[in-house]
Amino acid sequence: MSRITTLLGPIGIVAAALFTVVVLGALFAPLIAPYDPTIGSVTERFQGFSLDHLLGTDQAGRDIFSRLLFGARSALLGPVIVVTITAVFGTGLALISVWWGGIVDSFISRLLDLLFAFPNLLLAMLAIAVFGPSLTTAALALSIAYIPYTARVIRSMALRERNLPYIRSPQLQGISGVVITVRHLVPNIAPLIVTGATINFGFAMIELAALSFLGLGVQAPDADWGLMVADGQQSLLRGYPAESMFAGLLIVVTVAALGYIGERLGGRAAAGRKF
Amino acid sequence: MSTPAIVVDGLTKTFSGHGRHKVTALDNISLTVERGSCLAVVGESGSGKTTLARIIVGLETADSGTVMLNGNPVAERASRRELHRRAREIQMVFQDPQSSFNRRLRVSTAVDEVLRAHTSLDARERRDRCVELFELVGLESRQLDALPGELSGGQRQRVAIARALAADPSVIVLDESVAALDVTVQGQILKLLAELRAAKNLSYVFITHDLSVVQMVADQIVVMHRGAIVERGATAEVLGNPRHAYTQLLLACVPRPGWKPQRGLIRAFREKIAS
Amino acid sequence: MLEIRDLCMTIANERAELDILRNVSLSVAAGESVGLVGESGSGKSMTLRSILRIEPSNATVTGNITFAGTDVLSLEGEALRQMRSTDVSMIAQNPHAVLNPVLPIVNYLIEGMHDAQGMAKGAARLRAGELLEQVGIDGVDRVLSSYPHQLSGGMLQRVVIAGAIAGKPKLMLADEPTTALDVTTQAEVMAILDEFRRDLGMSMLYVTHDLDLAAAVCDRISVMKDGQIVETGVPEQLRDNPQHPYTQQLMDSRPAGIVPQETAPSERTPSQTAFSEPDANEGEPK
Repeated sequence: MSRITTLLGPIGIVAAALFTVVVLGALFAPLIAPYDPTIGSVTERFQGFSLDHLLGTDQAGRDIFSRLLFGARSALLGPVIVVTITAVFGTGLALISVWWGGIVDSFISRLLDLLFAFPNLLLAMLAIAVFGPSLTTAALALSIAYIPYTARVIRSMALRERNLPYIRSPQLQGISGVVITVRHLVPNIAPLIVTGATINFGFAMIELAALSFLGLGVQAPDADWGLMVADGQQSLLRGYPAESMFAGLLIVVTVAALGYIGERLGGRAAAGRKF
Repeated sequence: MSTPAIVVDGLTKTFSGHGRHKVTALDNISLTVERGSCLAVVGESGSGKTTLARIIVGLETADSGTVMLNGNPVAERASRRELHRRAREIQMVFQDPQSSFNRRLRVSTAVDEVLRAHTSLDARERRDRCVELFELVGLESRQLDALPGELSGGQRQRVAIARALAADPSVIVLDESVAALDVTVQGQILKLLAELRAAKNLSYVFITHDLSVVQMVADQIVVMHRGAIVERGATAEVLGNPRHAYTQLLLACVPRPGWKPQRGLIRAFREKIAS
Repeated sequence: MLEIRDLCMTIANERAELDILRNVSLSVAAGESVGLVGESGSGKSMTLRSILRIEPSNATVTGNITFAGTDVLSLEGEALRQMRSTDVSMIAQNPHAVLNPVLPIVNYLIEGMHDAQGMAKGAARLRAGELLEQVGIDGVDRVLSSYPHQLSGGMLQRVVIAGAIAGKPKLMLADEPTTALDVTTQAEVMAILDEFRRDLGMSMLYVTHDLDLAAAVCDRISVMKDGQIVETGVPEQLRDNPQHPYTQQLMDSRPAGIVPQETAPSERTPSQTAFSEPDANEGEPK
């Protein structure tokens, strides 16, 4: 425990606590939420803070607190999809590229360059235009857009590690490339993969929220933070800023918390290289 | 007359440097290492000695020329089976004891991995063999379970030698294997290498920049300068009666009792070469 | 000139306190060159760093360091900066770490003369050229406008030496200045360093792992092991009559050194080496 404490530092512990609260809220949303997030009542539109509705209600009379809890689910699920796909394929491509080298490396590198040329959101919008708007489409499209970033960072790291004796020696012992990669290379670049994933998580969260805000991600009436920021615009004009404000605040806090944790881990990973 | 351990014939290798600039790392190198003997390849940085070592073990391919290992050619693009077979003939010990091992695994794992690839021993027999190998290189069996970071540089280099010996090769390429060690430790490792060579009739290719080390280990010596061999012969002969200006320069620059550094030796050498 | 008395250093981490230096005492007289020889972890570099007060932040230093009459360990702020910039200069092992990679060489050399000594920029540039010529660099103008990555390690180390002697410091601290260099370059750089030290009458504290190298350029040598100085003496005395077993061990670890050309054992057959004979092991440390 004390190791984790020193790893994160005081601010990191607060960040980790905040993030944990968000995750728990998302996991236990059905138990905690006092109301159904999608069903509102026209008689209860635009209410302020009260004991009945802790954070008030939105323009459809839905409980904002409940919607924030359920919104956390898609807000986290989207980035989880993106980060998982990106880490698996980005690392995979990088390792294949480094291990085979030569033509394979050139081909993969050019392919990644090509992907790089597309702005992330544009790629996502393109995919949504073809496959229709949904969280899955948005997340998959973003995953593809993120792969080059991850793959590049990991490729350069793996390229350096590959020439070190602890990789070269087993190679000279006639041990297969797959075994060397899995046993030696991957564990030694794992900190970088984890750090990259943490940082990507934050980016993905913001960009998915942006897509939802534009109506291209999570679809109404489902709850989602990005969608809530957009929906809240009307309430905002009527003098009820709660919906947009809290949803926006949660996005900022979650991203900032994760960003800080990622940075701490990254710093440690870099320092750990000198063992 | 037995087949020599290594016959290198007409090796040439150029690297493409910045822009159109080409660097000749090796220029028509030929040499022979007799069975059971130690050939020192001496040179400064940029002499091509490390490239030569890497080509001999098959980590790099030459532009032209051949390497014969125990009478068989070292193929350019070898199959897995070929690599596996070659591992039992030639091994390499690297310079940097810091990165010789996967720092997350116990050092015995590195040796065990080799035994698993090359023998049909079961786990317990392999463990016994590891103990034997550790004893052979002067380590205690309790050090089997150490992590690389818990051992000193000299101890790590001993494990690296044990790993190289695990598949029972007949040739070992030592690439600056004692360069990073303290002088007192250097002496111990050189002694160990000499004992192992006598006991197992090993052949060494000893890559080094350090002339004072050469005379402790090598029977034969080749002096490399800018990718070419400028002088070769029996160690005592070359060191005692150097013929080439470059060998003379090297010898004049090695600190020894009563030695004083002199200015202008390099310039004098360049002028001599130019004329 | 420099007097170190009972210098102790402890570094505390989460788990333990490590004694890095234990009662290190040594002195360097005006114009004298003293070698500090030891292997890795002996504390030789830490001794050097405490003179410039650049020890690690988690280190506790006690004892006494006097430089030209001032108590170094109590120096602060401006006085400390003054000492570092004008009275003492340091040559480190890796010149790449010393030179700013994005600035041309000329900036490094002018910086000290212009900022610390208030020399006009034009004059400083001329002086920089002179200095480079003195350290044996050809094509001075080209080198001055080069960036560090365009030059070899030996060239860079000569630039660093030129910078170090520019301010005519009283004391030169050299921390393994040639370890990263080829042997021929090492000889050249050491010759230059030695020549300038003598010409300018500077004192030098020279840290190295190479006893022969220290012997070539030092008046006295202190041998260090495990944070202590085990023996101090003139080079010949250490070589011919070492008092401490560790000094003996250092001497013996390269049994023959390099064979001097006139006494080469040409009768030795190629198949024999010093270590393959059992009786050749007596010099081996146990």
